[in-house]
Amino acid sequence: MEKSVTFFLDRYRRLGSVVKPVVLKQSIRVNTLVRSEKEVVSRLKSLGVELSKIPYTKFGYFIDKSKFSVGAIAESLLGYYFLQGSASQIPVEILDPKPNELILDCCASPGGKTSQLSQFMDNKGTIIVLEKQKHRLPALLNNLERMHCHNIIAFHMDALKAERLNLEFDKILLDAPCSGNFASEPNWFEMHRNFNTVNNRAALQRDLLSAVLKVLKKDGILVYSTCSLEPEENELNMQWLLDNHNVKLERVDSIGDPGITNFFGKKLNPQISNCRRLWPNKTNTEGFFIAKVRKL
Amino acid sequence: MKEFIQQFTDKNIIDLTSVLQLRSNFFLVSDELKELLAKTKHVPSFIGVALGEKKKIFVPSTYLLSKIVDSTENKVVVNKQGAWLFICGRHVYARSIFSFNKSQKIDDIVLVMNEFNECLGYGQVINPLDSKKVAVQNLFDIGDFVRRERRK
Repeated sequence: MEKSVTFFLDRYRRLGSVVKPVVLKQSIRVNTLVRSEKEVVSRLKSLGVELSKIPYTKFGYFIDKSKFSVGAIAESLLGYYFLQGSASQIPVEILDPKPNELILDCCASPGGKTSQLSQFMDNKGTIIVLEKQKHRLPALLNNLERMHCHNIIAFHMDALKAERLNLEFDKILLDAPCSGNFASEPNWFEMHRNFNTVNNRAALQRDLLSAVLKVLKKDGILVYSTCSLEPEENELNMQWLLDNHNVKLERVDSIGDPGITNFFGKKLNPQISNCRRLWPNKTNTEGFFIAKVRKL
Repeated sequence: MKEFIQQFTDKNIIDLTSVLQLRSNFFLVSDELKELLAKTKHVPSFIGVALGEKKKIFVPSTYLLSKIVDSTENKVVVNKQGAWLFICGRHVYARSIFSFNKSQKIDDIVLVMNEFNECLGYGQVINPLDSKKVAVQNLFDIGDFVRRERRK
């Protein structure tokens, strides 16, 4: 029963959103490391691409209309922009990396958020990038080169072993491996999603949270995100984090609903309402959850 | 890598003392990154500025090509259609070239530029640039970013 579409849809409804299939607009992030926003927008417009600014991101644009795929034209290959979901541009905005900071980016491939970090830091400071899966490394390294990222050291390494790097970070981005969601994966329900998948992912996410908190400086910021809609991978993991680590949750200033604090009758820590939950039907984005954690 | 650059220019466009070779890849590494790397005692997969990869021939990064652009006259400028075909991995027909250096001769290595003066890759002159034949053989183009992911 747990595998069924109805089960999950009913669960989402009880958690606060009537979920229906959504058609997401393609979106890009202009890479100001290579060309100015104005130049890129004007260049794409001259090619007949209709764009509109994503109001909740700094450099994001929706592709409203294009007669061709914008993913393989020269402007894309030259790194002028990155095809990146609108919601997935938010975690880096919340982390707000500054030039000269030392940042850790865990589980980084294919590198959209990594190159966004470089952009926000103006290629200054350093980003340590970890990717555990060897087959995902080529895409990551390719994108780092294409997007002109120059302040990165990337390792083929499991973020669970981040302590071995002997470094302490100002900020950490943990866009955790998750069970995904139907809005970004049309066949999500058919992919044998069930609570084993969700619970296994949630356990891995808790292990990752513990591992990376060890290498975060005191008072440092960790942004945790998933593209899952399941509370086990999101709010319940934040409850576990508050119960087991000396941290607080700060307000995520973005679109979306507050994190759920009443999970089928179980009251969660009110700080969890500082997180943001993006229901695809409400925000017209892929599903997302974002938390901003400060180490005390 | 040095030999590759010398095909276009004798100028020192890259500080070779800051180049780090990791397996077959070359990177330009700042002192700041070097210091951090030393602390980690681990071997990275990528560091600093990618310069290229030594395969059968040297495959330059777009950064390296952009550094070469200002230091060489060895280039041809192609029209819109020629540019599109080139980044799809095709060779350059002489008819799609609208500007070239007249001293260019067969066997020379040239950068292939589009109408916006952006470098799309490089190739070897195999026929006169004002002939009616394929004039520049594609050796590397930026479409490789897409193709190399499919290969791996």
